[in-house]
Amino acid sequence: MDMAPPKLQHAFTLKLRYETPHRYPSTTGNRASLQIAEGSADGPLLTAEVADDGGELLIIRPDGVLELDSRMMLRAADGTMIYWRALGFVNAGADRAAAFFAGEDLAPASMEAAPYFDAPQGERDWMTCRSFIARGTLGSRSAEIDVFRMQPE
Amino acid sequence: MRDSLKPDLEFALEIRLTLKKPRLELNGLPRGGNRLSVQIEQGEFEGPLLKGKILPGGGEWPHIRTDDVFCFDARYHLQEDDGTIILIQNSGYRHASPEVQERLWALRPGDVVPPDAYYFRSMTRFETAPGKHDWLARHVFVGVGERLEKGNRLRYYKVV
Repeated sequence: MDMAPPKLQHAFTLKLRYETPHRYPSTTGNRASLQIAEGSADGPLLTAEVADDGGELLIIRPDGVLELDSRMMLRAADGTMIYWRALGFVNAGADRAAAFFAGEDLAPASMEAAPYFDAPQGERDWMTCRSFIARGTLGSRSAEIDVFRMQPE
Repeated sequence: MRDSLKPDLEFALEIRLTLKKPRLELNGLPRGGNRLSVQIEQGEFEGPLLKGKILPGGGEWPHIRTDDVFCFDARYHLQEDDGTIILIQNSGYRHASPEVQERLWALRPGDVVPPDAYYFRSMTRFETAPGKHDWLARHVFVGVGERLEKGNRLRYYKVV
């Protein structure tokens, strides 16, 4: 059995800027929502811009981890629409997470997520037939996320 | 005799949304059908126990299946007049005859399609702070929708 870790290929880097967050307690946990003001994706496999008001829905855990649920529509340079969804984590630390929920900005903290995509069948099958992993930083004003595609064996 | 396993519905609130144009269309999904992005311009809500406006941001990303069923999948926030923020996550189905479906899709100015000409129903979850409004996060809700020229109206009922 081949126990070598999977090989990853850098697909693009996503840069996002957010509007002022909404923060609210809920019976599920403390929540925050970050709406994208503008964003772009650039890299060897994709050039695109964020085309809608998507963004992040977060649960701010007492242990300082933010659970991330992300959605947005991207418009590639050729006009193709690509739908992004991702689940992941932001490791803010308990004090910074609590301060963020209390109303302060959250400085970019390390994040990781598993995105998956909808794209039209054809040229962009590389997005809809493979797994991806994303890693970067996310704060309440901005995020910068490197997205890697798992390479075919 | 009352059937204790038959649910009663209680009117909870009505939400009116104005939707942004144009909607974004991703056609030709590998699984079949299309994905849309429909974002909210503005809105308000009112019911016997709550009233307020829709917060900016948020919208829906429906999947239009190959059988022409419109499977909506929305998430956005309500803000009660007392300041409480309420998350709504809404999924459901909209379908109709091909003729009605085409009219709902085109929404030509002045073309009013009566809501009983199509099926527009939602399965709805709310989340909010413990306290005054947390009944929203403890009950099952169903919605009945109407497509309007500039958006939609959904009336939500609590399953008692």
